[in-house]
Amino acid sequence: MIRFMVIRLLGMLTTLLVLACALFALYQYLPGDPIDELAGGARRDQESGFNPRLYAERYASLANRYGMDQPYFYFSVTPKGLPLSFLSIPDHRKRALWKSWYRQLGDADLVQSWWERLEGLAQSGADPGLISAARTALRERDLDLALRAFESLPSAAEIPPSMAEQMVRIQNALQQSGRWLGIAFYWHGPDNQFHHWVRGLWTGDFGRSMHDGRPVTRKITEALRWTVSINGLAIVLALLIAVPLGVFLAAFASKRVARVIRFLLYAGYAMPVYWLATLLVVLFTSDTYGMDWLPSIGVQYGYASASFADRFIHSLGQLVIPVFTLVLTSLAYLTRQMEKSVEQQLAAPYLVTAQVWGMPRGKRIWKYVLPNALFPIITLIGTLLPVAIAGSVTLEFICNIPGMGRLLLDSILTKDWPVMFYVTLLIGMVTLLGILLADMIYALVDPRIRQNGFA
Amino acid sequence: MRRGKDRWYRAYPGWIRWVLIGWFALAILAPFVANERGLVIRYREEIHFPVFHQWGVDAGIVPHQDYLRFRLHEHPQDYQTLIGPLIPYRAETLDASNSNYRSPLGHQEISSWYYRHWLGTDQLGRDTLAGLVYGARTAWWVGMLATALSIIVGLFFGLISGYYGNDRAFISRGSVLAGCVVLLVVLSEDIGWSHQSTQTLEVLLKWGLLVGLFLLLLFGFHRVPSLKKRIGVPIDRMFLAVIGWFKSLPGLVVVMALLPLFKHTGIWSLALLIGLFRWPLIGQYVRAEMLRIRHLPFMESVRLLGLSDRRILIKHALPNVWPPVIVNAAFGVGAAVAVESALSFLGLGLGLDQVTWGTLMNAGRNYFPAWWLTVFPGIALFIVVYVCNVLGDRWLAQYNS
Repeated sequence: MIRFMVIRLLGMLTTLLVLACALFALYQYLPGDPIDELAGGARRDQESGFNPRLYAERYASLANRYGMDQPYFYFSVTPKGLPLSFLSIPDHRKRALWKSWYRQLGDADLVQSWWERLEGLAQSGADPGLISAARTALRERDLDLALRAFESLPSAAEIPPSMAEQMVRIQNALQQSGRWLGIAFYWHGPDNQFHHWVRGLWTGDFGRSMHDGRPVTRKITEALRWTVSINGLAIVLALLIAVPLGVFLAAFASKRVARVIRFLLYAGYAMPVYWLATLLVVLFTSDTYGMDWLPSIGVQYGYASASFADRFIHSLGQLVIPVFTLVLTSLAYLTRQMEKSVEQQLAAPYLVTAQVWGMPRGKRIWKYVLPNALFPIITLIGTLLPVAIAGSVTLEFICNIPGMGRLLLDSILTKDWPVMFYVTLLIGMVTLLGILLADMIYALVDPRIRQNGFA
Repeated sequence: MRRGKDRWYRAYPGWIRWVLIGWFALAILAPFVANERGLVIRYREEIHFPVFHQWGVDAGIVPHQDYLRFRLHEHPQDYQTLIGPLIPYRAETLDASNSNYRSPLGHQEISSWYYRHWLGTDQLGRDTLAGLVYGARTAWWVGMLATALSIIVGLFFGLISGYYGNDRAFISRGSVLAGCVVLLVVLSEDIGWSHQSTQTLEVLLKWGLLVGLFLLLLFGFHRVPSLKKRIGVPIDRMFLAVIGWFKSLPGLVVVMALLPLFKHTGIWSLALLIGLFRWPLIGQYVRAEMLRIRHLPFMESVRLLGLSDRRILIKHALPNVWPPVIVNAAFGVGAAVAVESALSFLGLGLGLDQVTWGTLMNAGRNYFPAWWLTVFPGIALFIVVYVCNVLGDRWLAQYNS
C-alpha cells in the first residue's frame, strides 16, 4: 500500500510540475503589461498630470516588487553580445521585441537608441503621420517593415536628420543579415521568475495580487473556504438523497414510477447549471414575479471582523440556490451509479442463496446489498469533486459568492497574473487529490490494483 | 457488421434527427432566416437580392451597393419587399423604437405583425429570436469544430499508442542522433544568427540545408553498425502519461486561464481550446479498442502479410475503432456547446461581435423582469445538450448490446 501511494504521489507531483511549467510558459505570451497599468501608464496620453520621471521610478519599484525585472528561467541562451539588462525588462512585449531587434542588428546601443527615438516621437506633438508610424514601429518585430512604414510617409512629414542617420545604420545592419553572432550562455541562479513562482508553491508565500496589492495567500484562503464549504455541503446532501433513491429505484420502484424519476433526473443532468441557477435567482430573489422567498444574492462579507463560521451561517439563505443547483446536477449521476451498483448486487449469487434460506427481502437489501453497493459510490466522490468545482465557477459568478471560481474570473478580467497562476494550480491540485483519494479507496477495496501501482 | 438499415448507429428516436437537421439548417441558413434586409426587393423599379448581395460583398466578390444600407423595419422609401426573411432582424439590428426590454407579450411599437419581436428585445432593442438563430449558428460551429478537432487528434494518438504499445515501436540510435542534431541546429539558427524574417529565399535555403542534413542522417546511418542499433520506445506509456495530465486538469478552469492568450476570441480559437481538452477522452477509448483488436486473428494476419503499418492502421484498424469514437463525439458536441455558452455567459468567450446563447442569458441577468432573455436561450441550449446526450446514450446502449 505504501509503495502504491508513493508511486501515485510522485505521479501527482510531476503532473503539478508540468501544469506549473505550462502555465508559466503561457504567461509569457499573455498580452498587456500589468505593471504599466499599476504605475499609471494610462495617463500618458493625457496632456497634464503625467510625470515621466515619476512614472519611471514607480515602474521600476513596482516591477521589482513583483519580481518582473528578473529573467524568466535559471539560464538563458542568447546571441553573443546581448546585454544582461535586455533579459530583465519587465514588459514581456518589450523584452521579446528588444531581443528580436538585437538579433537583426547585432548592436545593443542601436536597439536602445532606436527604441528611445521611437518613444520620443510617439509622445511628441509632431506630425500625426509620424506619430502613427512611430507607434506602428514600436510594435513591429520586423525592423525592415518598420523602416518601410517611415518611408511610405508623405513628404510633408519631416524626419529629423539624426533619426535619418539611425535609419541608415539600421539599414546597413540589416543588409548584413545572416551573420553569425555567436551564442552566449548566461546562468542566472535562483533569481529568476520561474524559481520565485514555483518556490511560492513550496513555501506558501504566493506574493501579492497585482490588482489590489493584497497577499495572494490570504485572498485564496478566503475564497477556498467558500468553495469548499459549498461543494462539501452539496456533495453530502447529494449522497444523502442519491443513496436511498438509488436503492428505491433498483429494488422497490414500479416500472412507471422509476421511468418518471429517471426522466426527471436526466433532465436535471442535461440542464445547464448556470441556466438553472440564473432562473432561480431571477424568480426567487426579487419581487418581480411575486416570489421573493430568498434574500438577494451575494453573501455577507461586509463584516471583516466576524469569523467565517458566523458569516457562513448569516448567509445560509443566500447559499440555498447554489447548493440546490449543485445537488441537482450531481444527483442524476450519483443516483444512476447507485442504481447500477444495487442492480449488480441484486443479481449476485449470494443473494439467491439468502433468498433460498428464506431471509426477508428488507433484510437482504438493507443489510447485505447496501453496504456492498456503497463501495463504488464512495470512490465516486473523488471524481465528483473536480466536476463540482468546475461547475461552481459559473455558480459563484451568478450568486456573487467570493469563492475560487469568482477569484479566477476576476483575476482573468483584471490581468492579475499571480492570482490566476496560483488559483489554477490550486484547483488542479484539488482535482488531483480527488483522483488520488478515489484511487486509494479503490486500492483498499481491490488488492489487485495495489500490486502494479496503476489503476 | 450488418449492412443497410439496421446498422447500430441508426438506432435513435426519429425526432432527434429532425432536431439535428433543424439545427444544421439554422447554422447554414441563419442570414436567410433572420436578416434586416429583404431576400428579393424592388428598389427604384429594379429587382435586387440584398441578402445574397451582402454575402457576395462580405466574400469580396461584388462591390457594395446603395440599397444595402436600408433596413426593413425602418421602412425606407422606394423600397418594396417582394420576399422577406422569416425574421426581419439580424442579431445585431438595433430597433430603436422597441428598445429597453420589450416583452414578447406586451405592447410593441410595430407597423405590422411581420415586424413583431416574437421573443421580445433586450435593452438596445435587439431581437431575441434573431439572437437565438445566430446563436444556433455559433453553437453549431464551435461544437462541430471542437469535436472534429478532438476526433482527429484523439484518433491519431489513440491508434498509434494502441497499435505500437510498449513493445512494437523502435527508433534507431542514428535517428535519435539526427533528431538531436537538427534540434540543436534549429535552436542555434534561432539564437546565433543575425537574421531578418522577410528574406524568404534565405530562410528557404537554410531550411533546405537542414532537411538535407536530416535526410542524410536518416539514410546514411545504415552503413554505420553502432548507429543502426534500435532502441525501444514505450509509446503507450508516454501516451498514458500525457492523458493523465489532461484528465487531471479541470477543463473549464484551464480553458478560462488560457483564453487571454488569444487577442481576439473567435470560433476557431474557442474550438481549438475546447478540442484540446476533449481529445484525451477519445484517444483513451480508441487506444482501449485498439488494444483489444491488436491480437485478433485478422490483425495478426495482415501484419504477417507484411503490409505497412500505415496501411494496416488506416485500412484495417480504423474501421473497427469507429464505434467508441462516434459515441464520444455525440457527447462531445453537447459538452462543447455547453462550455462555449458558459464562457460567453461569463463574458469571456465570443460575444463582443457575435451574439450567442450565453451572452443573451447574461443580458437577462442584468434586468430581472426580462425573463425572456433567460428562458428562451436556456431552452435552446437545453434541447441541444439533451439531444446530444440522448443520441450518445442510445448509441452506447446499442453498441454495448
